[in-house]
Amino acid sequence: MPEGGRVAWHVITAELHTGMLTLAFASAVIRLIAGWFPNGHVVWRALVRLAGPTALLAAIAGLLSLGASIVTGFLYTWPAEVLLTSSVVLNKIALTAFSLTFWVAFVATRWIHGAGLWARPHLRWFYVALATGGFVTLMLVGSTGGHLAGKRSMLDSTLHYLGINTHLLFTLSRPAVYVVLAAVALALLSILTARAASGRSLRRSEAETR
Amino acid sequence: MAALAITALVVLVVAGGPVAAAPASPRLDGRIEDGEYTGHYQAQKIGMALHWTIEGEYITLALRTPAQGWLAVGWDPTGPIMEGEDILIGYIRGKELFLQDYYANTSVTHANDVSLGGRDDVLEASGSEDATGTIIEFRRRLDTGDRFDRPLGPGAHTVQLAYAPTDDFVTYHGDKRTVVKIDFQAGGAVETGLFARPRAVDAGRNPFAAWLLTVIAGVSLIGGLTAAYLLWPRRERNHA
Repeated sequence: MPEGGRVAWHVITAELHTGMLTLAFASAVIRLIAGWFPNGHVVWRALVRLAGPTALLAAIAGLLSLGASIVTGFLYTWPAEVLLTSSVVLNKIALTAFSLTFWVAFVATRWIHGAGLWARPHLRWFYVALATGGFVTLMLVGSTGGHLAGKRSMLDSTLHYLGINTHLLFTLSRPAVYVVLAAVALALLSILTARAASGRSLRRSEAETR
Repeated sequence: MAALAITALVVLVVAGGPVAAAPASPRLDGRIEDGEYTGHYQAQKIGMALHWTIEGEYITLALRTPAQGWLAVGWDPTGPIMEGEDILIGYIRGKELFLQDYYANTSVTHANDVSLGGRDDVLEASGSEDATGTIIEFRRRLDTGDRFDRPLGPGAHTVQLAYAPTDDFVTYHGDKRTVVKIDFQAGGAVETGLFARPRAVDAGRNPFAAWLLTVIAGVSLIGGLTAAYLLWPRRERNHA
């Protein structure tokens, strides 16, 4: 039972980030499918033209309000002793962390590659995949939030059909965690090594050309 | 002469004269009179009182708080915290009593029994509110048979009492909450501290560490795969 009055701040920020990030996801999808329908009604063409910048701006605004939502969630809902001992709340925090990571990656990808990423087939699919991951985890965050507010969620029947009980704490086994962390570290190390080798050979070939 | 004596006896009984030895049933009138209920517990720390009377298969409960807002009684959570608890929560707005039968569907939330597919098992209720506080009285069966209710059988029950100064079903009670063991049939109450059950989540010996590692693994996987894709040298060459 969250504290009245101040909990409204969490509700407002949660609605804000949900709306913004949903807009970002929808804009990214529109921009992606625009590749198959380049010509169309003037409204469609205007929509496609605005979809790219809208996706970025909405994602940034959504990330900022998601940060605010995390702060208000910690400060104005339940006491820390409840937040850190409830399996539903811990699941919600974990899903929020995953969503946050997807959306940071989404913005970072756009920042690194610029608007030109829409011209690169693999990269634009990757970009929309990040938005999809962020949106799906965001939906699960909203669903667990619905449970915490004492309501049901529209996703309940789907989750129960899949055998997922959101009331139980979701954890990976220690070996699984170590395998994931080792695999990620190894992949990054390999790519950095390959990148360094590639850079050296590029510089060598440039020197030979000169 | 005998008929006159019998008539006089009947008049005495009906008038509640010297023959009436057993305490009368509590009257659900929004007031708690001295001796109206057979059992009583006063939560000193939060200033809330619970009264009860068992009659056959029914129990009448009365709650009194020093605030003008919601008040609640719940019993027998399976834990952690209040999960699985049978809760009756109510408030008075204007002259109208809002009382509902709830069930703690998670450790920190509760939902109306009806919304979960159960029943509202309050048979009769009344309440009053003034500047000194709020009183709510209600009657229900000891065992309602509803899967979202907990039967009040013999023995000690873990009872949670709470209230808040607002007229709704959701405002956090803050420190206005206490937990007590009460044997409604035999009487007697013992304070048990704020938590009825250990608050550990059910995932091995150190669930918090396991959860934290899972979060770190998930975030590393998403961030790591993104970084790996963006740093992939072959792609960079192709598009340079």
